[in-house]
Amino acid sequence: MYVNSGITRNNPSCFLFIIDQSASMGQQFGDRHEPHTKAEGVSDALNNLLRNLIITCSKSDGIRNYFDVGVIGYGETAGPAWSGPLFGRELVPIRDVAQFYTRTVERQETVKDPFGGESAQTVKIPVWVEAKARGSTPMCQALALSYEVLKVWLLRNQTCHPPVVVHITDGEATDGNPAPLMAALTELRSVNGPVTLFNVHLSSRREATPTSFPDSPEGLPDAYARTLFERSSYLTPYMRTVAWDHGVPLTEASRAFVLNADPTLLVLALEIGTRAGHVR
Amino acid sequence: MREVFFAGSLPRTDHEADSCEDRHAVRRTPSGLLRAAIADGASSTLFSGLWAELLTATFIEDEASEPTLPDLTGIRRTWYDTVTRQPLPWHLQAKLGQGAAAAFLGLTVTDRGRWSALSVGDCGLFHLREDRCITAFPEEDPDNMPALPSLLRTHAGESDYLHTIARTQTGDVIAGDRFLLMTDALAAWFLREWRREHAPWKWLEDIRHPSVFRHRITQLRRMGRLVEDDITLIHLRIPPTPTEAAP
Repeated sequence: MYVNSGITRNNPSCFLFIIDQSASMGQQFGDRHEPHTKAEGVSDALNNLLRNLIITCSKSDGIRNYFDVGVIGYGETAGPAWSGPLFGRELVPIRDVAQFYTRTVERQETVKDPFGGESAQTVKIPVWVEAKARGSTPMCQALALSYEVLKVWLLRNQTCHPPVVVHITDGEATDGNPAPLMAALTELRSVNGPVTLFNVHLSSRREATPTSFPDSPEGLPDAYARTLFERSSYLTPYMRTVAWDHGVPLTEASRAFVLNADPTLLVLALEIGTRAGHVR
Repeated sequence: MREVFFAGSLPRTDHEADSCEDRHAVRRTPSGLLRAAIADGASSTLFSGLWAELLTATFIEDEASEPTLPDLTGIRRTWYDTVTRQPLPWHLQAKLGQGAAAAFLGLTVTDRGRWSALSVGDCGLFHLREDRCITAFPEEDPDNMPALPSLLRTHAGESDYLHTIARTQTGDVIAGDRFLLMTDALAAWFLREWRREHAPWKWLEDIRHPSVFRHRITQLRRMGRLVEDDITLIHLRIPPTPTEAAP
């Protein structure tokens, strides 16, 4: 049973991102003409998501701590993947995330004023997670650490809106079978329901056909894809609503799983998995 | 007779006293109009309390006896100049382009026995006569309360097509009538109780002091009758006209 409970600053929820930082993440991602690796695509999408999440939590008098957020990477090592001042921290209140970024990049954005005018302004975009692509794929270590981190967090936050874990990878684990660890993650729960595990598999081949939010394993190309499907949670009703808003009709059996995601599908999957609903 | 029997706002929880984004205002104008307004600043937007305050304060200053909204252009400028007076942290600067929004309801009572109201959004107005509620505006059915109400926004857009989102109502008023204006959470409760042929105004009509208001709202919240939201209530009692009051 999954209850769509409210998220308040006194009863925050949690997002945990697990990202593949192995050497294969250095391969080209998508059809962009300039070199753009999967690692860069993931860090761009994640930094953008964190920025949007902070903006959602921003009120006139400051940032409401609606979420604790963690980023765990695996490649050369498995552990927290924050760069800069948050280095080494596991779950961080969103208020602290807003304050402690590692650097900013400048971007041109169109800014609206109240009088119907628009102007191009240079805005500074914070960066929290740098692109990395080195080492093997110790996915199991990262999943085990994620389990421990969330287990402790849930002991202190029993009444929370259930946490969401988004796992982004382009390959198979080199340190064992991840299936039991994924199953353990989704057995963690608050009083309002189980942890939702999102598996986002990135394409290594430009011609690979993306599969998004399947409701059955039929047509999946191999045993690994079927494992990721089986271990991914069912999308919650709210996530299906967000998907519907994006023109993606889904069924109650649809899984939080995408295979061979291109950059567009990666961003869509992150949006569906992490749209901050019911913050009060 | 005291015509503003009660006017007050409460935050959604006692712990968030500084973050109430409802505003209210009442005034007897020099030309004899009684004007009252409530606005419910959308908590998902920035500086919506300021926007709600500007909307209500500007509405009660107007001398028009017809249901007209304040001139949005002027108060948009005031809102923008106020919030950009100080440098903002990056996340507020990034959100500023989305602007602020508020539901709004304004009431005008003339000394010639007429009232008019204008609403954008889901605030509620209830006209009471003797022991009956004779008008509910803009909704009479709690099931019709919109999940995503229209709102007045600081940034040009939907608000510039006010003829499509503003609703108006007029009626007669006699001495002794009462008006209750309330923001959406309390209005939804009122409509549900009214539909069950209860008399929810009896729960509100004798409130004269903020501490009693807080106590009543706390009781409703503890009973699970109100969604967690800021609450505003204005209670007006229409006095006899000078002619009626003469011996």
